[in-house]
Amino acid sequence: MGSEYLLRHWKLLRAGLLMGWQDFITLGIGSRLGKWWPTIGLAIRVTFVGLVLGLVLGARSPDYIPWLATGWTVWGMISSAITGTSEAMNGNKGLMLALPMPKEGFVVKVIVKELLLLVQNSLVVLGVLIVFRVPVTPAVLLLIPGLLMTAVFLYGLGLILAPMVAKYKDLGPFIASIIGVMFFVLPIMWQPESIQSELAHLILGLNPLYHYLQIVRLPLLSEVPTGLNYLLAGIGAIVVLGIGMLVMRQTRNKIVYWT
Amino acid sequence: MAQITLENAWVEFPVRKAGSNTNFAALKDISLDLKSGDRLGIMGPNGSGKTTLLRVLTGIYPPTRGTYSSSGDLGSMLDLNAGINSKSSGRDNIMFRSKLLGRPKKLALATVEDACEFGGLAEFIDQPVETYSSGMKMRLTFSIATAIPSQILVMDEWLSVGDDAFQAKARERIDHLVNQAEILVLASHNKNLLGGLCTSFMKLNGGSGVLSSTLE
Repeated sequence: MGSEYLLRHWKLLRAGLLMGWQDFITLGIGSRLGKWWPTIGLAIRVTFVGLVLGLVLGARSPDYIPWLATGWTVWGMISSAITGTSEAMNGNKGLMLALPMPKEGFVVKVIVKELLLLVQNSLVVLGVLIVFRVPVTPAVLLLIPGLLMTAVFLYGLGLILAPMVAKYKDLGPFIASIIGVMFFVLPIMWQPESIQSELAHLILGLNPLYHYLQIVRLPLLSEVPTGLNYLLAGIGAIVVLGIGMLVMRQTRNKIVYWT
Repeated sequence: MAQITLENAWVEFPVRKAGSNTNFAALKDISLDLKSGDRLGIMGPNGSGKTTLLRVLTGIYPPTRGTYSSSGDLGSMLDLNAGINSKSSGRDNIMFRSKLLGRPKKLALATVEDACEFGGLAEFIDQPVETYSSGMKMRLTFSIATAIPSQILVMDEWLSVGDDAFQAKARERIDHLVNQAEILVLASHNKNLLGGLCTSFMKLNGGSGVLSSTLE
């Protein structure tokens, strides 16, 4: 834990922040609406799915669209961060071969970009909150610890997945499929109140991603996540970060040969 | 004090072929001890391991066997186009790359100025890099790479890019950088160039290297 250790981490954090910011501001460069498209797309999806499901499934409570909008926005960040970080090293071979750089920086970069995009996409949430007159309370401040814990978890997970995807190329599409399925497994389009069986509740609670979704989404609705959400998310973040650092220690010198 | 040490370094790539689990040795048992004042020229036919050795010396390829250590700030001129965002303007690329390299803003602004004047990109500096000709792109990255002298300078055969007029200008600046550097490592096929700049030579063949003090 010397100053060299701190310097290395400062360097990789700085490189990740810079590259993530750069990725964000150059998003969709050249087209007129460019970087607003992810947000416009989200708004369109939320509007149509919200209306259609409302119609098809009959009388929906007025809190359905806010639930859908916050869930989809937050899940968009988490899912893109997981698929993005898992390809972070595999996809940066050119840069890795040209500049000696701490490899974790590529993982930080993806998370920074997705967090910035989340801020932009929150405009959709804001619109929905205003239209549906969802009251805003100080509980919204819980966003800060929620996002912090989620960012640490995503960073740790990226440190585990990115080297593995670099080595085992088939893992990338597999992760993408699992993340795609999660959209239906997690309560984004449906609400947990509709679960009938205890077993289903248990299965949902055992999905770590559920807790990260909740600790970011609920504060957006000015609701307070449960202590269990925080406990499991916190433990998960620390464990995953620890494993991630171990994986990096074992693979750091091999990654460039795998990509 | 700048230094680079390689001890019995090997670089072995996994060979990706169905059913086989073998390695290909791109570098075999290379030892080097470079100190301030050393000028090493690397030569050898295509595929002999020149670029791989440069990448080992810059810390990009950690040796799969043997050890590598270095101290001193490093100016690597390997693949200058890597990480250039072709949708962004030349100016934005210079500012971003300079920041990534940890250079102060003043130096970044001076680099933009340099790309405009020395590189003759004034008219195009705010255009996306994808509209540049390859020569213009080269001049942009040249400005970034040569903005600041470094203790260790590692170069891969790239002095010969650009038209005659630019090459003559560029040569002068490279000479200056080379003189400033404490350690120079240069890979090239050009014996005259190597003979003029370097004091020791490593001849690579099939990944094995022989160190000598003369070109022959």
